[in-house]
Amino acid sequence: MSRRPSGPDRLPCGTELGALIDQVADGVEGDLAHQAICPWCQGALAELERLWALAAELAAERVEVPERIHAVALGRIQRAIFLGRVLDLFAGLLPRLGWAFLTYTGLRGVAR
Amino acid sequence: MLGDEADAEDATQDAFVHAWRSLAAFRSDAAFSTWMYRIVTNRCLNLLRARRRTEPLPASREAPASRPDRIVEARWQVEDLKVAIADLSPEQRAAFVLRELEGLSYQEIADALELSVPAVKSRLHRARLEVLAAMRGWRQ
Repeated sequence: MSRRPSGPDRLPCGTELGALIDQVADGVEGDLAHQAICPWCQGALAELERLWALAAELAAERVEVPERIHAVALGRIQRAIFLGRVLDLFAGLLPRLGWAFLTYTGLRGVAR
Repeated sequence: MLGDEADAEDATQDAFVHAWRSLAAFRSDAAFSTWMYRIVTNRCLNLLRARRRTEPLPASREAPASRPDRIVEARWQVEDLKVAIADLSPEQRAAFVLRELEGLSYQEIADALELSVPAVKSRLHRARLEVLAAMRGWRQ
């Protein structure tokens, strides 16, 4: 088998490493006839399959969610709801309070 | 995604609160899970970008010769993979984690990251090459 110029992303046989990654990671069809006789492709595929098996192992790791996350998030939401209600209350009351203030201090008439 | 339990808790809490506040903006034409992925990923990216310059280098690895058996070796390789993922840029890491660990489709990742599918493919391609290069470098 002739050797072609290779770089970090290309094997000595000329195959793009990205194509082999797509084959292993995404199931994209590869050049099976070439791979059957190419030691570089076989080596790279074996390496990629090992790496993707590790990724599958990592993906399967169970992540325990701390119970307090729910409590803290709900607490923050409840505080936000409470704050929103208080702000709504004041937003509704403010014009009336202002009107009352101006009226009872006699400023309303002056303002007119 | 964050590689730190405390940060993950913060991001999760922030995401839940943000989701609750933004619930009115949720469009039912998108999947709720994708919408949540977008919120959570954005919180994670914000945290990663904020700590990018102050993050310490990953802990140095023990020499392979000192590892006692194959089970430990396999466990170490998974840990190596975690470090390789942690070394990716936040943007590449998000694409890699959503695809390889969460199993999202390219379209779902594009929706979550608010990118086009070709942009996701390009980002993921670079991320995969970098992870591969890191894992190769450690084996040599």
